[in-house]
Amino acid sequence: MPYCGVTQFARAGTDNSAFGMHELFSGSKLHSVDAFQLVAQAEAAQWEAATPAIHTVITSLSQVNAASSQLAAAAAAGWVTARAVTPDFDVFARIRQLIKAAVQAPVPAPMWQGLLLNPESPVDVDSISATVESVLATVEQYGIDALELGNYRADQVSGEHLAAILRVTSSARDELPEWGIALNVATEALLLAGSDPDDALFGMI
Amino acid sequence: MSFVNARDLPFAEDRIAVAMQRTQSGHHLGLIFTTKKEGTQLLHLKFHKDMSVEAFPDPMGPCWIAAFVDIPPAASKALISIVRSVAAKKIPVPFGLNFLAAKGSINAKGGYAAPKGSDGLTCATYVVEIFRGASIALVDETTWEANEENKKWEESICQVLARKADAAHVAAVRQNINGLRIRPEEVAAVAQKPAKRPVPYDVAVAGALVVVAHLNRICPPTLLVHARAT
Repeated sequence: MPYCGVTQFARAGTDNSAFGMHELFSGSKLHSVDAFQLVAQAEAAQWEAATPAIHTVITSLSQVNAASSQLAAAAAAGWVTARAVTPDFDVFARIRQLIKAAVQAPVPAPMWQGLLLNPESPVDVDSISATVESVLATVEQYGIDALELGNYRADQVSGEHLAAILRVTSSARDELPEWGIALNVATEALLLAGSDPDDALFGMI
Repeated sequence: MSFVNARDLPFAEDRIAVAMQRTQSGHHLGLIFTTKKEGTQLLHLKFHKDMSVEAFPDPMGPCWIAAFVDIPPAASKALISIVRSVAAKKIPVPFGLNFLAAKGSINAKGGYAAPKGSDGLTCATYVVEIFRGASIALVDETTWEANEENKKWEESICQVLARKADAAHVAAVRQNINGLRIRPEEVAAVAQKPAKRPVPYDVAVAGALVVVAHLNRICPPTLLVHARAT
């Protein structure tokens, strides 16, 4: 008898401290399928997270494990919605295990966050380059919205690394409503560090 | 620091320089940056979809002049970081003349994406857009003035472009022949000279004359390579 299940997991915050799970089984009136689709996509729900949709078609149980890395990547940025349509309850159960494992796995913070959130981070050109490269990778993979720039305090960040983040995203400042707030934080952080904001923020203030 | 022979400039990882050479059709512009792994490199848009990142200087290559870009140290490091990312992506950039429509060509992903109405970039406007993508406005394009000399250059460069690009692109570029041009020597001047930016046309033109004078002195027209005589 076919099963249809919709399983949703949500990851809240960056410390993976909370997630919710809803399961809905819509009964058995489904056509038989030889293959099932594993669909992972982010939903712009109250967590305001968005990731690119990932669509994986799996035709055999042996491919289930191969999908886990894609699922983990999607889960890293927010919501994950997975849907499996299959006549095989064992396969569906395996999918459910897979999703649960992916969203519970610790997600390493991107490099730019580590450098940003340490006021003592090195500010040589290679360290700044690491921040810029990491930010560009985040934007390319998850979109500009993945950068949350409004939650930082001046005494908790490296002003120069935040300035570099603002510079590399300056062309998209209209898409980042908190860009201006972050600019003020960077100014304050640089002053706290005894640096001249007109240097690191040259051209932006 | 003013323009010197590029081979004499003390390149360092935390410094970025603008470089210019003489070509058959005028002048050509690029950016010089240094990394631990690759050493000193020249990033330049050679021509249509021909973005190049190469070891610099080339002992057997043409004579270049170069000068460090005049911006504060921390901003310079961030700009260098962005240049490194742009260089690593190696995105082919089409050659085009409409620099007004090309504003914003270097985007927040560190790559090239033609804005609506843009036909591409030149070597000079490629540098302008990289700086703009790093929130450093070099020139005030709204003050630029057209002239017949630029128009003749645009017409001749389109003939060269016809040998490299498809007919549709060449036709689009020809539509933008209007005598408005940001010259390599103008960008070299405003990148190096500590003037209030964005620089208006008349200041850029005056600075360009000085840059060309440096080029003529350091790389005389008869001196096509800077290989040392032994």
